[in-house]
Amino acid sequence: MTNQENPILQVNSIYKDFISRGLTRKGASVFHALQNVSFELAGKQTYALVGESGSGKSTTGRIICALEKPTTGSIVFEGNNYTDYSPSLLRERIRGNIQMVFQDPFSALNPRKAVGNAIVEALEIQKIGDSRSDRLDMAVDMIERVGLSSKQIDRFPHQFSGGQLQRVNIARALVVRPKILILDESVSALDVSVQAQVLNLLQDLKEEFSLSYLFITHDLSVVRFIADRIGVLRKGELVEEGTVEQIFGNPRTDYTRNLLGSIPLPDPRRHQLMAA
Amino acid sequence: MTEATAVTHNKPAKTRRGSNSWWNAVLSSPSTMIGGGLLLLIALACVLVPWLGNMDGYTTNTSAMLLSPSAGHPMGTDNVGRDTFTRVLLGGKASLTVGISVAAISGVIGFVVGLYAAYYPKIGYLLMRICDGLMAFPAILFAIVFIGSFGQSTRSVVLALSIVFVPMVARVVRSATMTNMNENYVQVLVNLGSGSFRILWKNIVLNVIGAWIVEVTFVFADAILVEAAMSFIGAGIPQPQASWGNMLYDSRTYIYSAWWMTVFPGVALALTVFVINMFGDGLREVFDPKRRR
Ligand SMILES: Nc1ncnc2c1ncn2[C@@H]1O[C@H](COP(=O)(O)OP(=O)(O)OP(=O)(O)O)[C@@H](O)[C@H]1O
Ligand SMILES: [Mg+2]
Repeated sequence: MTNQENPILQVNSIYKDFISRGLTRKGASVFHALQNVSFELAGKQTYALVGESGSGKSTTGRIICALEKPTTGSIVFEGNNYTDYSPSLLRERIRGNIQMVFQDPFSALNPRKAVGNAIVEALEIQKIGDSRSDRLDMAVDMIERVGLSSKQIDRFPHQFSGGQLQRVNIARALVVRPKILILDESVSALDVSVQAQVLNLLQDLKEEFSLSYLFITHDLSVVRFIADRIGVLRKGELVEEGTVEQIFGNPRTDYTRNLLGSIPLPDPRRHQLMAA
Repeated sequence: MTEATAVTHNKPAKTRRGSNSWWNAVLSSPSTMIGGGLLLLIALACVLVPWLGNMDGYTTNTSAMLLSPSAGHPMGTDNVGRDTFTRVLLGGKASLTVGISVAAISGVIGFVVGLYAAYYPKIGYLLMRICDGLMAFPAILFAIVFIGSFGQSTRSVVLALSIVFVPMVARVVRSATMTNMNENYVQVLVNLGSGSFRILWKNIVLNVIGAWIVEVTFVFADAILVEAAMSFIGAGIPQPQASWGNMLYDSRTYIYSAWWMTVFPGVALALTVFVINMFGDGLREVFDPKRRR
């Protein structure tokens, strides 16, 4: 099932330190957000990064998008190590190939820009499409693919619900035809029926556009259905890594077992979120 | 496909609706409407009335000195026999010209400086220290320097005031821009491969322009006040050209014998500044995102 020979993305032992300056020189402290994180994302596969809040999932996503530089370590996309690329080189070779759907759907959209214009703008930046009406057609198609109505294209972000905005963000990320899509808690906030709808959509799009996903979530119940491999992050360290079968069938750490235990069980007598 | 074409056709209607929402907010804000309307009225009166009435505010007339208000001279005459009403209107024209020029110059420069100071933190730090330095000096000091090099003229006054107000506008724009820089939508644009021009001028600008317009309105009012103060100490708009400040200066020795020389330019100044501030407060409400959201 896993396809190890041609990884589209390699994350090689990245470390990320955040230095917070205190009032005095002594007060300065270093926070290790990521420590020695390595994994590979194979082409057309889904890699799920799970872990508790603050474990460094979003930070990993931002580093892969080259929005932040790792303290040490390297990231390789299709054989090119782009860790130290200049902004113009990144724009030429990487941007557009790797897209991320951010955790906070509201902040990821310009409050004064109609969502249709935001999607058209993404196409303009990537120089996709010949004319404005051409791009608008693509935007409408994509908006409909994620289950919104083309009438909503003129609306501003504050006129949408959180779940709808999340889908707008997915549409904007997908419209530029990336090879890798990073989804940061993108379905966690959706209710169960919409969640299933979006997950199905993601599976369809994956086939259609030969996408690879990096799926960031704290919700393991979702992961089971869509991931090929899972990496478990804890306090910035990858404590466990393997196929879905390995992680679900034979979790090696208590931490992972706890995460697995947080899946709500169908048995009403065991309805608590955390298994005792 | 039909759906898509329908939307394409809707396009112009849509953009109109987008700008309409600001316009509607303006229409539903009484202080913006009243303040803006009165300001327009004052400006039109100062420009049109002396011109249409072919009024003379310069010729001195020793036989008509210090006349109290009457039908012929609704605001009386001054110590050299000029009609105060005419000079209040001409003074208003001068004051509004200074105010608008300073607001435009410091508004545009302050906007660009503030935007780039936020986008490039290192240059921004330097620019902001320069701004701190400029703000430490009073406008009158710059006025004296410019009068020394260019002579006493409206241009010197406008330049001196602009230098003092650029940092104030830049500060407001910079802090609004920095708030926006932390939003994820900027990260999304970077990740799509956008350059700084698009990020700043096609995205962040939309969110900064409201705070900017409000600040520029207050600069407009402040510039008129500071110009009056400068004229009052003789470093502003040169005689015999009328300005509210130099009219008040002329009136200071006649304050008990000819109250009209003090009261009318004083009231005109206070009223104009009040109206502009009312307009600015209204705009602040209109652009407040919490109210609009
Ligand atoms: N710019 C920053 N400066 C300092 N510390 C940071 C910064 N960004 C993130 N951190 C810290 O790094 C840690 C990891 O953050 P991150 O956002 O990656 O967590 P996460 O796994 O995505 O959590 P969540 O599930 O809550 O989104 C957190 O403890 C956070 O406080
Ligand atoms: Mg996160």
